[in-house]
Amino acid sequence: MDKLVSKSEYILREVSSRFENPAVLWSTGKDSTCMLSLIRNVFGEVPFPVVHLDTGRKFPEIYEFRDKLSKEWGLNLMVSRNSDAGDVSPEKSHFECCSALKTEALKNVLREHGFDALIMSIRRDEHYMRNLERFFSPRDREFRWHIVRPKEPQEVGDAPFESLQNPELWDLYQTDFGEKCSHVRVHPILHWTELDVWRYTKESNLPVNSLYFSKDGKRFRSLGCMPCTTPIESGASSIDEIISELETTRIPERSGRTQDKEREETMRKLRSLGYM
Amino acid sequence: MFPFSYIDPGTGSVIAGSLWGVIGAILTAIGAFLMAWFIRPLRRLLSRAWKAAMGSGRFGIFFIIAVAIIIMASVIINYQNTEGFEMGKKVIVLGIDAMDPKVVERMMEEGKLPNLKKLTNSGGYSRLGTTTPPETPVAWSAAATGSNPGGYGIFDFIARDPATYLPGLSLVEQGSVATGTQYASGMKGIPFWKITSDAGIPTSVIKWPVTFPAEKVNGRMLSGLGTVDIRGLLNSYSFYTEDDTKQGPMDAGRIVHVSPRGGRVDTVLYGPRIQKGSEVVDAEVPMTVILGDNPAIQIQGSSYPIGKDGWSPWIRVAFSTGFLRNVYGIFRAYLLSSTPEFGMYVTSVQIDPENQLYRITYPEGYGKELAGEIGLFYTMGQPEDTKAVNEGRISREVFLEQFWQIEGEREKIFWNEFSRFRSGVLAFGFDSGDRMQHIFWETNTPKEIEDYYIQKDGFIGELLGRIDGNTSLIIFSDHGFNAFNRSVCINAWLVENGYMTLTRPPTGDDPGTLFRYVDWNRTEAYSLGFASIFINLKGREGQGIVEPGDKEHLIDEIIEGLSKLSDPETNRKPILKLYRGGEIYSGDFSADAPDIVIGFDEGYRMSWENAVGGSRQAILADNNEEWKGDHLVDPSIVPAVLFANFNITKENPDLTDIAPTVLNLLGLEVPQTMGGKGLVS
Repeated sequence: MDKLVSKSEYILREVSSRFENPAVLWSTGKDSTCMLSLIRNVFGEVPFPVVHLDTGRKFPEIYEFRDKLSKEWGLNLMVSRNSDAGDVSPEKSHFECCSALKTEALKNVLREHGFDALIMSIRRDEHYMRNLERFFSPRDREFRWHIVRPKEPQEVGDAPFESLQNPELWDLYQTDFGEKCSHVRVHPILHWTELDVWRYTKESNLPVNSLYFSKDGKRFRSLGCMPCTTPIESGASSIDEIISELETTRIPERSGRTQDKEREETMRKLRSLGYM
Repeated sequence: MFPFSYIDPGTGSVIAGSLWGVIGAILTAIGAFLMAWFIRPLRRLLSRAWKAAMGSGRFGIFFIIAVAIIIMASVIINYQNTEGFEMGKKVIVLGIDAMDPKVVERMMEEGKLPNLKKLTNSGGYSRLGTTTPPETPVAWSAAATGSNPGGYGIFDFIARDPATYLPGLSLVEQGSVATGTQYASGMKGIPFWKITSDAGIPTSVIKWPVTFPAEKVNGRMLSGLGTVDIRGLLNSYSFYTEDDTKQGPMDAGRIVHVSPRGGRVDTVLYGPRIQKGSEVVDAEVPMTVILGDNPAIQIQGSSYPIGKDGWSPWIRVAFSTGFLRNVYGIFRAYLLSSTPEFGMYVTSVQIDPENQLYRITYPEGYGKELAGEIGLFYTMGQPEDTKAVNEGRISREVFLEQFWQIEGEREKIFWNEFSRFRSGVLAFGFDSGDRMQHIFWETNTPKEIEDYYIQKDGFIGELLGRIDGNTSLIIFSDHGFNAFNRSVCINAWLVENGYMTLTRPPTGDDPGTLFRYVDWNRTEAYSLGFASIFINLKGREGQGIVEPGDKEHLIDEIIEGLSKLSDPETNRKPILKLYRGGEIYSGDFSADAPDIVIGFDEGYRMSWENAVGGSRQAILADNNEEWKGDHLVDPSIVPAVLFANFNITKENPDLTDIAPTVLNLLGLEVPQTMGGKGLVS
């Protein structure tokens, strides 16, 4: 745990020394709340603006928790909403909805304030795509993340593409990515696991959104928008119980979030069978 | 089911590639290092030996003899590998999906099928027992493995994940591993082609259902039913129109609204879904339709004239999937009308056999070779677009044209393979007739269906004329056919009788598919697929409530209740027979079997809502779809057919006898796991 924390703190110090205008994203979830706590440990306070992307479809508990902690910790909170999103909803198209409400809102806030680094709380164990992330990861103007580029294979067995990401060896981090880069995503807890987050939350005695605790046999493992997040079966009603549950479970953390996407895709497949 | 399985083809392979790139680079470096050390002296040694040999006449002869010995030894070793297989012995297994014995027997009687009649007289004909339930993937897999569904794990078109209750197609398994989307055949168990391949016998398996992705055989394979299109679906046709046609919520096809201007339509062709930034979008390429006297489709710098019959030729297209690579596909279009209103049907964009997104041929080069010899061809598992007919986009006539295109291509593929068939086994599937009968079935066989049987009889006649005395020929179908007049929703019955509780009632617009509104804490049994009922069993189902000790009693109760179900419209019982999965299935995969299997009576079929875990108000309703015939009834109603050019001595043969017969004919031992017996004792 100490090792994990000291690596994260090192990265946070790098951010404050190498970037002019960094900001931290805070969903009020367990991971980004941990992040704020880490930042407070390093700097004594949270010296960066704290951005909350509000889709307008979050759980009421999230707003409550946000406003309470924001006051307590004296955060410089910026709430960003995409007011031009119009009539999107996940029932129509999950992708359009997420894109309009989250991605566009993020683009807006970046355009407005010109942040050059965004501190985010993603972890490698969440999803295999996140395994490819670096601690410092540049994004272009369209917010695209370039992992590889195609190339002509030079010899038999050669891959038809090459990696665009440089390795991050020991504590040497590339933070300057040239002109094409609109901002750098920084992931100080990329190397943590879900269990690490809960252990840190317990050790540091951090406040936790009540949605994470079991109610009527169900609790949330990951918090998103109301229409697209479903709770898991669980009786864990304290941090200790969550930790012991995680030590034995094999269900992916974001299972509640992805269920609807899965349903949409499952129906698409079933529909394509002639007998339907 | 995996979180990011919706990201299409391609996205994942880049990761695989980059990993392999790294591993490859390391291995290459090591290899180069070793080569530098060892190869040079070796080469020097060989060239010296060669020079010495050539230098004297004796050495030359010695060398030639040595090479001859090596060749002979390898031939002998190979020959021994084939376990008593006689070179030159040939077995052709020809499956004709849904060839119905009622139709065949009547038409033979009327003299309309002279070649099959001749085969009956010189060899043998019999009705063939089909599987329970008589569904295509279940039945063909029984023929391939010689075992009951418990031996290969396909019990219905639809299977469920017991943990989540989510239904899925049993034709292919899709998973998302660290390397992205991956497919695996839904059929477990050991098919006869694996046994013959392992024995070193030449083996080709072409268009046999449930063979996607293509497996390694000692010959060639072309994947059949289950093969996806480049969107990873079984069907995703498009319909381009300028009217305000709306897309139905259950439609497989996509409606693309266009507006013709100046004698042309500028639009796009949709391809695989790709990740773009943080979003997932459909890849697209611009496409222009030129209207007027010489209509044509212009795409990626080429122009393809649309024929007088309205059909375009095969068109090849490359979608850039962003940062990784191109995905290649092929499609055809049919121009319905250009005036007064524009309408165009575009088939699913299918896997290009020459640039395969997923492996549809073994070896991969076979796809290229075949396309080179017969031209491009429909590669998806079920290209006969029953969906487009059922959803009202193309007429039955256009569907029939497409059906004959596919049948024609299929025969070309057959003859291509037959022309080089010298030894071993050639297994081949014709399955378009099944889809055609689904649309055209009537009690009094219509001309369209008779034409098909007559055409196939002609094909068999030609084949009989071309095979030699060393060839055994088996022709079989997987099931017969019957009318689909009334649909049955078993979940509605379970709700009505208190075995299932819903949190809100189903409506026509929202049947609550994927068990969306099922209250599992108050549900004892659920139905999905076309014949399956499962008990919500504690310890097996994700939210099971029925104690294992109460299971058998509950099954009895449901069977008793369902057998009393009566249709007030017809005064008939919709269900002929109910089976206990535990009794009729055995084998390694029988634990996945449904607890109850329904055998519907003639004319009845499961409703589509039920198939996908939904429900509706009425248990029974009329079938008003274009999908008029079906075979998802009790196996006793839709037996299959079996023809052979040898005498069939086994009584009451069934599908599981096909694989053991193939092995017998080739002199191989039949594994004990095969429940079936040889057709000749």
